[in-house]
Amino acid sequence: MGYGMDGLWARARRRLGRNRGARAGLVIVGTLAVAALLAPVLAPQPPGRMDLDRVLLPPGPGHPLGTDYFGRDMLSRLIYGARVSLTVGVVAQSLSATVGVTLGLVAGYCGGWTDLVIMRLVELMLCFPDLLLAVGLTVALGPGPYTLFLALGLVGWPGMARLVRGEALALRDREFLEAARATGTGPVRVLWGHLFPNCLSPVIIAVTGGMAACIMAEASLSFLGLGAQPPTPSWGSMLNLGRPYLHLAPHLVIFPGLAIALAVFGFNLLGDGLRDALDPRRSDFPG
Amino acid sequence: MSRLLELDKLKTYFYTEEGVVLAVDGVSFHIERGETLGVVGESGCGKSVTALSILRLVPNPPGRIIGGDILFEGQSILRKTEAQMRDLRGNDIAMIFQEPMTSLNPVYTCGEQIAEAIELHQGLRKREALEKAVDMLKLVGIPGPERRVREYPHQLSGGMRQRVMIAMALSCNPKLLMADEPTTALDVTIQAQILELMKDLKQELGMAIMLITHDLGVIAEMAKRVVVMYAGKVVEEADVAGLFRKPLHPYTEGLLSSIPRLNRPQGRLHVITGQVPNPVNLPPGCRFHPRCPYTEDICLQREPELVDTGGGRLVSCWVRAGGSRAEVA
Repeated sequence: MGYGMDGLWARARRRLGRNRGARAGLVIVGTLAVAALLAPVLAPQPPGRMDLDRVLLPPGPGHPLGTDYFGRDMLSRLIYGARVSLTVGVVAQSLSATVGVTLGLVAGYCGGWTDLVIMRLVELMLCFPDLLLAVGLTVALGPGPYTLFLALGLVGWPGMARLVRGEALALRDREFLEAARATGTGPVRVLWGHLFPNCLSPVIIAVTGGMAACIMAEASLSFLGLGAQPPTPSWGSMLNLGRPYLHLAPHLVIFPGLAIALAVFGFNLLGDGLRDALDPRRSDFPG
Repeated sequence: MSRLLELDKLKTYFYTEEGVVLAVDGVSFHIERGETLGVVGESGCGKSVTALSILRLVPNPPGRIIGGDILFEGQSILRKTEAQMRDLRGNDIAMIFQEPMTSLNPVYTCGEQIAEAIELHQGLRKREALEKAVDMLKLVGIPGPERRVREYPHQLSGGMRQRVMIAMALSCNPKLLMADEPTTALDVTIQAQILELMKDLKQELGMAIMLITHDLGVIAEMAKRVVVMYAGKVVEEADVAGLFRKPLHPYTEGLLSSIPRLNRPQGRLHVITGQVPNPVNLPPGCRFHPRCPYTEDICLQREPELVDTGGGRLVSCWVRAGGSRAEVA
């Protein structure tokens, strides 16, 4: 007792609010999301507008973060780049979460042959190095946003499936599932209505952490020229474009690099905060 | 009218790596409408598996019903389709479990869980089902039901949760309520309250109760007839008064004499010597013979049948039901 009317979510929210790191993470992620959503409003210039009279300008008035080799405003490109990073992260994570959670739940709950087949498939997928698999797929399907979603989603689901299967395995013999079956609840509803909500917190934590990994992976692929294609501004491809001018105009790599680091840092902070906030074993009142 | 429930030589075996576990091995008994039947026995004697078999919820693999039949209102449960079974579960036959701490889903409010059964079987909308859930909580004596219906299981005490479980089980007016050790996890005063509640509700709703317990005190309090199980078999069936006055099977006798009495001086408590046999490797002959003080030669060789000794009393024992020997021979 002692929580009055509120439930698990209210408690998680309160714990999250008390965690300084998680608050910082939330601010960073929130800022990025706002930047991505309102990019056309926030960006001082269209990201593709060139001005060949003002190339490779260092940060200064008019261009707070300088300009690149084509005279494009760096700040505008970074703001639009947030769109690419976050979209890739959200879509790829939704994909891998959907596939991973479904297969993980089914494997853990059904056990037996079903479990065996699904888990062997998971292990097979885990044999490939993540980035190599993504690179291979992109090369095979040709670079483009959909390939990117697919490649990163495909890389993510086995880990998710494994995580969810573990949770489902630990819960499958719990009496509340037995009680649900004894009330006449069908198997699909037992799985999604009763088992899944109890696995939700590790999934949320994993998705948040996965977002950071996805942003990194997108940047890596774009850096290699396999991600977002020009003229779409992406942090990874900006890094790549800036690389030849490292000595001449270091701001071309410093700012995209900072953006990537900040985004990854933000999602990781938030993930850690969520881990603490959603842990049912942790008490609000230590000692 | 047919009997409410009839088990006919039910056999539920578990096929494990160590061997075949004869969890329920030829169990027969019946329950009349509106009657309370007690099922007694030690842990692992097959009481709970019998209940799960009746709902056809034995985990498969490793468990399987391999023989016998279960008739509910004259119809075989084993021949029903899975969809028909889902219709039956929670609606005609409801079950409450031993552990109120873990039998409720921690992520839903009490109201939502009660309402789910009502939505499922009575086709009510969520709003109406939630209103009915409040009525059910009132029925099981939870104070402030309008508030409690919106609370989560972790906000309730053990006794409260068991009341919620009972409310859930009774929400669709089942004809049979199976209670698997409903009070074992509760402390003594709460136990008495829950038993009293079940008794009252039975009066009010007229359902039959199959009360599974290892506590003979609970049986004396609640049941009219008793079935005693040992190692997957029914060893004795009797009306409660008769059983307590004169137990026939040596196992029942042992159980009864192990109860501490307040009204007579007593030194050490009586114990039944030996241990429950390993279910994969049961002794030959009568399964109780290694622990029985009256063992004869025949007990080691042949399994006794459940024999009617008259007056609704059945016992499976070579020594106590002499007539059977002639019959079998």
